[in-house]
Amino acid sequence: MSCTSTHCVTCGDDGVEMTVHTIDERNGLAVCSEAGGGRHTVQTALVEPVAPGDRLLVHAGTAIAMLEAGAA
Amino acid sequence: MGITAREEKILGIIETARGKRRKFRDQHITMAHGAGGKATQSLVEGMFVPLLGGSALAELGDAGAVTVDGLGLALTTDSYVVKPLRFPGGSIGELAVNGTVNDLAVAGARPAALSLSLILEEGLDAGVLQAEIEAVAGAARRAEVAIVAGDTKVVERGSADQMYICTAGIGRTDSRARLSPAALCPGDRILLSGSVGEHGTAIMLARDEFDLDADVKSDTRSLWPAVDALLDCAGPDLRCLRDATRGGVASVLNELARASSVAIVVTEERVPVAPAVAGAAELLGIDPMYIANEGKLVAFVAPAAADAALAALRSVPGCEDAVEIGEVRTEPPGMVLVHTGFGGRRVMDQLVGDPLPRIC
Amino acid sequence: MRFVDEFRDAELGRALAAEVLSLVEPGRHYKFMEVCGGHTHSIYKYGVDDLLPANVELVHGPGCPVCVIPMGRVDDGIAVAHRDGVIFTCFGDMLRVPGSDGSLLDAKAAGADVRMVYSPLDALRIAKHNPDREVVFFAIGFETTAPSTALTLKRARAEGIPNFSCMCNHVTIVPPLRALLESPDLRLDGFIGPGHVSTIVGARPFQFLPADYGKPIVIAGFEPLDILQAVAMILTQLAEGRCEVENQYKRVVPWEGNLRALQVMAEVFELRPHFEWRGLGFISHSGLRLSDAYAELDAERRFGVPGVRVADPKACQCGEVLKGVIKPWECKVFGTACTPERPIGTCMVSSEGACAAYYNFGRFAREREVV
Repeated sequence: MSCTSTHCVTCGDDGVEMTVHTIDERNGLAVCSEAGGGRHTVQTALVEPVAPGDRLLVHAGTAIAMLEAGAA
Repeated sequence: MGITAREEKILGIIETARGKRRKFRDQHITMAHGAGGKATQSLVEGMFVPLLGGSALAELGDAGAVTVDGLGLALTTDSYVVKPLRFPGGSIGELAVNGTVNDLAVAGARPAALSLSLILEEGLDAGVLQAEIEAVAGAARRAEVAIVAGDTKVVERGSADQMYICTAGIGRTDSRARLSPAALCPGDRILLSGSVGEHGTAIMLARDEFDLDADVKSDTRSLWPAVDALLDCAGPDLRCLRDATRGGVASVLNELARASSVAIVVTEERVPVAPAVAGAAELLGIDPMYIANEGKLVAFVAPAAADAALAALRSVPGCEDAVEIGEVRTEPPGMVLVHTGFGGRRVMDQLVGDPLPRIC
Repeated sequence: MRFVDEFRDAELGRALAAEVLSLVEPGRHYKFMEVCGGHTHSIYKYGVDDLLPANVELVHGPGCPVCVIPMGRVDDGIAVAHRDGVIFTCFGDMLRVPGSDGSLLDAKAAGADVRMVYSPLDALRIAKHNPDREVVFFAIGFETTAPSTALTLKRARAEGIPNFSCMCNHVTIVPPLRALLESPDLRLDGFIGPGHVSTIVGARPFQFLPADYGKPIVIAGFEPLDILQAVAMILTQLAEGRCEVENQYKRVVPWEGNLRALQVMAEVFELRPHFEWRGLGFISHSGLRLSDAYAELDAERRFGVPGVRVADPKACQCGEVLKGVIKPWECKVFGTACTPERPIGTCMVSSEGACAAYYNFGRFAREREVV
C-alpha cells in the first residue's frame, strides 16, 4: 500500500515472475506460483498457449509476457 | 552540487518534524490509527499522553512500570480483534496470551498472571468459543502464567465480529533488567530473534481476500524464555527489548531511534525472511520489515556483550535463526538507514498507511 | 533466495557503476527522466542512485498512475462509493489520494464500503460473491494494467455478471511524454523507458523521442542492474553522438509489443478526446474509457458520476515537479503543509511520487560526489 515501506504493486507497474502449474484452458486461467511457492490464479489470454512449467511475467493478475527459459 | 541554504532549511524542517512529538489532527478514526505506524503514534502522543499524563505512560513502552510498596511490577493491557479467529500457526486465544506475555517480557518483567475479558457477538457458535478458551488455557500453560480474573459481555449481532479478547497482564520486574527506550548508545548492536513477517503474512493469506495461497504459519509464541536467556547473559548491558508486532521490525527501529535520538543502521541482507514470506510480500508489494510478528524480538545490546547475547539467544528453542542485523550510530539522529544488498542505501521510515488491518 | 538475485548482484553493480563513471564527461550535468514509477521504486529500494555520481541526476517522471489522477476523478469515485449498495474496489495506493474533501480512505471511515484489490479479477470475484451488491472497479494505470482490466471486463460479460462495472481512468504513456517535451522550461538529456508498459506497447511508439525531440531513450527492466545499465547506455549514446530508441529489456519487451493485448484494449476501450492529468492539465487522447460496445459495464454511465472539474490546489506545484522543472523541496508547501501523512499533491501520496521519495530520503541523496 501507500507508504514508504510498502507500495502498490499495480500502481508501481510491477511485474512478478511466476511459473505455470495447472491450466484452466476453457476459462483462460492458470494457477501459477512465485519463487517462494505462493500460488495465484492468473489470466493467460495475452500469452497463450501456456504449458505447465512455463514462466510468465504477471502484472495485476494477468500474464503480460512469456519469459524465455533462463531469462528474467 | 552543494546543498543551498534554502534546501538546508527545508531538510531541517523535515528532520525536526520527524523527531517531534506528533499532533493529532484527524477528523475521524481510520484503520491507519490502529496500524502501529505514524497515525497510531499521532493518536497516542497527540491525544492520549497529553490527556492522561503520567511519567510511565510517557515512555510509551509495551508495559508500564508500577512500584507497590517497593516491589517493581510491570502492567500491560491489550486487545485482540484478529480476523479470521483461526489461522495457520495459531488462533486468537493463543495470540491473546502470548501477546500479553510478550509485552511484559520485553519490559524485562517475568509474566505472572493475566486477566481475560471476552466480548462476544450474539449468535457465536459455542464450539468456536470453547476452542478458543482451550487455546487460551494451552498457551497459558506453556507460558507458565495463570489466568486469574475474567469478564464476559455479549453484544448484539453485528456490533462485534464473532469475538474479541481483552487482556491485562502483570509481571515482576526482573532485577537483572535495566531497560529503557532512551538507553541506546552509539556502537550498540541490534539483534533479531528470527525470521520476520510470518504472522502478518499468515493472517493476510488466511483471510482469502487476495487469491494467493502460500505455506506460511504465524510465529506466535512466548518470548519470555528468550528474554530470560538475554538477561542472564547480558544483564545491564541489555539496553532495550521490543517485540516486533504491528508495524514490524521497521517500526520498532524507528521508534527507538527517535526515543534515544540516535541513528540506526541495518544491513538488509542479514535480515532472515522465509522464501514463502518473501514471495508473498513481493506479490503484495509489502516490505517484510513492516509486517507484524508475534514471536520475534529486537534486542539492543552494548557492544561488549553482543556476541555472547547472540549465542545465548540462539540457544533458546525457536530463536535458532537469531542474527545481528545492524548497529546504533550517532548521525543522523532519529533515523533508520538501510544498507541494501545491492550496495546502496535508503531510509527506512515509519509506516504511514495500513497494510494489514486486524492482524492481532 | 530469489531467481532474480543474480541481477541484484552488488559486484556487478559496482562494475557497472564504474562504467557509468567512465562515460561521464567531467563537469557536465546530466538529467535523465525515468518515466515509470516502478523504476523510481527500484531506485529507492536498492539505493541505485547511491552508485551514481551526483552530476547524473535521475528525475522522476509522470509514470506513476496514482500521481496523475486529478481531484475531480477522485471526487467522482467517492461519490460512487457512497451510493447505497455499492462495494467500491481499487488498488492500494489510490486509497490515500486526496480529493477535494478527503480520500477514499476517509470515505471508508465515513461508512462507504471501499476495498483494496490487487487485480481487476479480485474485484470481479467480489462481485460474484456479492450478487446483491453493485461492485465498481476504479481502474487506474498505464498500458501495463489496462489489458488486465479489458480481459476482466470481457470475462464479466462472458460470465454474465450484471453487478460488476468499471470506472475507467486508464491512461496512455506517449501523450504525457509529448506534453512534457513541449514544455519550454524542460531540460532533460535522455529517458529511461518504461519496461512493463513497453511489454504491451512495444519499443516502437517511443521513436518520436529521438525523431521529434532529439532525446535518446533506453527501455529498461526493473532490477537495479537493469537501471544502471540503461544509464550507461544513454551515456554511451550521448558520448557517441547517437540518439535512438534502445531496448535494454529485450528479455521481455518485443519491438512490436503484445499484439493480443493491444487488440483486446482496442476492443474494450476507446480514447477519450482529452483527459485531465494532475499538474499537467488536459492532454488530448491521453485517457481511455469503455467503448460503446461495453457501455453496460461502464460505471460512469451506470451511476452518472457528477464529473465536476476541481482545480489542482493552488499552492501545490506537482506539475512543475512532474516536469522536472523544480525539485520537490522547491515547492512552496513541501515538507510544511504537504507531508506524506497529510499530502496536498499526489507526488507526496504514492511511494513512487517524487516528493514522497525526496521527503524520505532527504539529504542522503546529496552526499554523492560530483565528477
